[in-house]
Amino acid sequence: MTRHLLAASKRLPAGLVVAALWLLPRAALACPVCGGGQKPAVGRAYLYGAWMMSAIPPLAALGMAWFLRRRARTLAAPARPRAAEPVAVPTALRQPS
Amino acid sequence: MPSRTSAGRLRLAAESERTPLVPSAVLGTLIFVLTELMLFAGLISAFVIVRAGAMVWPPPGQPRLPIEATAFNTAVLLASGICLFLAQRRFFRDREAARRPLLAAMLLGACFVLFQGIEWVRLIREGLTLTSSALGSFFYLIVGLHALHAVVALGILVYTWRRLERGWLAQHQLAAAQVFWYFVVGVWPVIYGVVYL
Repeated sequence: MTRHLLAASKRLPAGLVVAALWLLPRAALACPVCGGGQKPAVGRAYLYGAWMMSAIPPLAALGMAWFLRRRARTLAAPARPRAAEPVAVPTALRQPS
Repeated sequence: MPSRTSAGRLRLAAESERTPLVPSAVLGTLIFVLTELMLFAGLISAFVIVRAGAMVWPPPGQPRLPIEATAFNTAVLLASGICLFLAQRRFFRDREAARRPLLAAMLLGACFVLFQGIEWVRLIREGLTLTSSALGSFFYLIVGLHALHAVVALGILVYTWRRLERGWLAQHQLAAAQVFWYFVVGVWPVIYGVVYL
């Protein structure tokens, strides 16, 4: 009896793998792109939607990285000498020329 | 070791006065805009799926969306974005010179919101409501959410304008307002293309 139980427990992982493989197609069918769309247009709409939603975060991260790099370069660059700005002097303090 | 302490203090003071890579106001607005972008992406995606699954689109008995008039309104909003860009360019050189383009951006933005409101009233009168069809539900949800953003962004522009008038406007405040307004301007052509066309 014990020997039978031990043998069964050894076969358990293999049985689980088989069960998972058996259930996998059902899981795939639950995906709206594969099996949910009644019309091909709906499947395409789901697909484009998924692509768009997946693409935005990495694109945003890349855009942010590009912006930060550009900003860091601007800050690291030596400041250009600026022309002297005219200083406002009140009329009362101006010296007659 | 008094000299070391003062040197350390000096270094700390110098570090605290370093220019930040991105001002907190701009970074915060950027992160907020990214989350809003995902919200709009989700809504647009849902709209595209519902439209693809419909037998007839637009649903029968529903009024046509004003394509030509909204195209003009889109141009108005884009022009307001350009005006804000010009305001920022001028702000660097002369703060006073930024007043006119900022005012123009504000007025054009207000025109957009006003015109959208007028179109909504007309569409509601013609029978397009939140519950009349899937088109109505999505139209008021997506376009309404954008209008809400436009109103809030317009409020921020008015606040920016008032600070500029009083001479209190800092560069990072203008930049943060710009990021939000550019988002409102940039997302609208996408909404127009998907919902109206």
